[in-house]
This record gives sequence, C-alpha cells and structure tokens, in this order.
Amino acid sequence: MQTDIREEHFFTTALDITVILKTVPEEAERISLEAMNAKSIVARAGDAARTIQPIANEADELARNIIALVGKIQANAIDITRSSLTEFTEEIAMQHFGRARALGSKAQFVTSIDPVILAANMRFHELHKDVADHVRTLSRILEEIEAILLAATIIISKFRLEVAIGGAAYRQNFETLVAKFEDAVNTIRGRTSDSRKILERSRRKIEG
Amino acid sequence: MMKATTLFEGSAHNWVLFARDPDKPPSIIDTNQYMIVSGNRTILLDPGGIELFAPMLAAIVDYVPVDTIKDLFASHQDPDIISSLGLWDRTLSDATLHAPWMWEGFIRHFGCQKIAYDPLPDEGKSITVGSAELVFIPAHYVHSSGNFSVYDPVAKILMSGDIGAALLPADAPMFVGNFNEHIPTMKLFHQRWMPSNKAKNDWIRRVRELDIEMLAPQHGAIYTGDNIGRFLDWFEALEVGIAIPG
Repeated sequence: MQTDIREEHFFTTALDITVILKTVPEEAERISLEAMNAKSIVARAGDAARTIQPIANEADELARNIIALVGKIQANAIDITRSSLTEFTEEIAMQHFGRARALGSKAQFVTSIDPVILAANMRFHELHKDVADHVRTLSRILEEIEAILLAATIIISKFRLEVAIGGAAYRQNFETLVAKFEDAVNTIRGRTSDSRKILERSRRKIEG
Repeated sequence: MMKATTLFEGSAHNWVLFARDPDKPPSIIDTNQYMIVSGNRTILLDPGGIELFAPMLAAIVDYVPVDTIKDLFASHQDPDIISSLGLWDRTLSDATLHAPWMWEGFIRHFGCQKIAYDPLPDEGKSITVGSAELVFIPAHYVHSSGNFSVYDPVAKILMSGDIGAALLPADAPMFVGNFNEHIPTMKLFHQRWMPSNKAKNDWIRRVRELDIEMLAPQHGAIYTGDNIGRFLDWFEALEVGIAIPG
C-alpha cells in the first residue's frame, strides 16, 4: 500500500556512522597512552629528551579532543536517529492522508481533509529541517576531527624530527611510540573519511 | 471505494456501516466500521486498522466533514479495531477515545497524544453524541478480557464487536440471510476466540433484556429480525473455549 516512501533515511546513516566510529575512542586512548609513555621516557631520559615533552603533551591533548568529539557525534547521532524516525513516521502519515484525499476525490466533504494534509506537511518540513540541522552539526564535528588529524600529522613530523636529532639512547623507544601514534591517527582518519563519505552520499540521495 | 451502508436514519441521528473495501490486502481480515452522526457531531465505532485508514477516511468525508468527528470508540485493544489510532490522532482535534480502562496503556502504543482517553469502567456507562444516547454494555471475555458492546436504544442497534463475527468472502452480503447457512462461517471463530462460557452467557442474559432490531458485529454480516434471536440461541448453546483438541 505504501508507495513513494524514500528508501533511505538519516536514521540509518546515523547508525552506520556510529558503528564506524565505535573504535575511534579506543584509538584515541591509544594515542593518549603512547603520549604518556613518551612522557615517562622523557622523565627517565632527562635532558637528552627534554624537547619531546611538549610534543607528547600536544599528542595527549589531541587524543582527548578526539574522544570528546566522538562523544558529541554519538549524542548527535541519537538526535538524528530520533528526529529522522519521527520524520519517517510523519512521511508515512502524509502518504495515508494523500491516499485518502485521492480515494475520496469525489466525496462531498473531501476538502475537509486538506487542513489535515497541510498540518502534516508543516510538521514534516519542521522535522526535515531539524534533521538537516543535526546533519550539519555532524558534518561540522567530522570536519573538526579532520582538522585535529591534520594537526596530528604535524605533531608526528615534529616527533620524528626531534627523535632523529635527539640522543641515540631512547631513539628506538621513541620510534616505536611514534609508529604506534601514527598507526592510531591513520585508523581514525580512515574511519572519519568513511563516515564523511556515508554522510555525503546519504545527503546527496535525500536532497537530490 | 469501501462499501457504505446506511443502517438507520432517524430524526436526530444516523448509523452508517463501512466495510468490504475492495482494495484491502487479502492477507488482512475484513472489518466493519460504524459511524453515528448526530447534528454536527460524529462518533466512529471500532474505526479499524492502520491499513484501512485511508479508504475509511475517504468514505467518511462522503457523509461528514472530518472536523465533526469528536468521538472514537474501541470495543477492545486488537489492531484490527484501533491500530489506526496514531493516524486519527494526527487527523482530529478535540477528540476523545472511549475504550476499556484496562487497555489504556496498551492502546496508547498505537499513538495517542492529542486524543483524550476516556477509560470505560468495567460496569460500562452511557455517553451522548449530539442528541444520540449510546450505552456501553460490558462484554468482558467475549472475547477480550476488557470489552464492550454499544447499544443505541433509539436505533435499536447493538454493535456487538467480535460477537456474531463471521469470516466471509469479500463480496458477501451485508446482512445475514439464511441463518443455518451462516453458522459454518462463524462457528470456529466463536469456539476459538471466545474463552469463557460463563462470560458468554452473562452477556447473552443482559442482551436479551434489550430491544434490538440489528445486531452488528465487527466482522461479517449484520443480524436482523428473527436472526437476532436465532443467533443468541445458537451462541448460548455453543461450547466456547474448546477449539484446541485437549
């Protein structure tokens, strides 16, 4: 009976993104852990590794920022799911009202359905705007994470440079740390990029 | 279009039956929906399932504007009775649903935010729609544990819910003709859906005291004239709650 119902809604997009980003906080925790390890090595190495300390602090801060942003994404995804499901329900209601209007086109009081259709239409557009606002917020948070990951690339380069020009005593430890750090950053970048692709594809389908 | 049949035309109110929707998906049971119009006020009795909402609304506006519907009645909680509630909730303003008190928390799952819920007490009660008085007669355990029939003392119509229901083909007549030929279409339904002989007999006893010209079930065909007494006699003699081999 239901026809012309859109095949895609943002509640599935939000759920997909939540699943994709599920492991990002763990990766960010890894970065934080490696930063703490770096600080610990710095403490042992003394002056020989003093320049590593601020880089480790930056890495730790970066990790915490990513964790906070993923938390915001999860909260936003719940809002999108809720709004989008309500929008979906309203869309189905509009289908029923439209069908009644068509079936009763010759009925004596058929125009009395029109205010009902108008009200449903207004509710639907309000909800649609609500969903669009949440999607924009989600997009902005993903952009923030991408910006942090760009900063992470710089931190990694600085880290490598400091390790290269620093003393040889702890070089191996720092190189292992920076490799793990880079690995975690790359994993987060991949997941963020996948999320953005899903979000954009869904936006194009729904808006197009 | 859903078939509409005027059952009663009085000086102050009318009864209309909506049923036999030709576009109904074959997998869902056919249902009878009733509308009583009195002046500029309308009540829908067992307004039906969500699948039938659109044809039902289309059929109604051939008689009255939507904004005259101020009352709904649900005899019990089943989806074929009232799963359209969420859509009526979006359609009506200042409306009240009269339904058994015990199903309120359940029926609200269909969506009931704007519509007020009037919880019917076990002993039943009367309401006035326009100038028509309607009496909610207890019909508990026939079949639902919280269940009412509706009696109109002026039209002398008893809307009996699932009591008297029959499973008929889509093109079946709206009124029972030969009662004996009708029995096979309702026997299993009553034996299986009605769980209690005691409750059944209690309902029959109360209904026999009423002056009834039409017994109007929620499925199947309407009983008129002598067929009402034949049905009550048949139902009284029927052992119910026994359709599963023990």
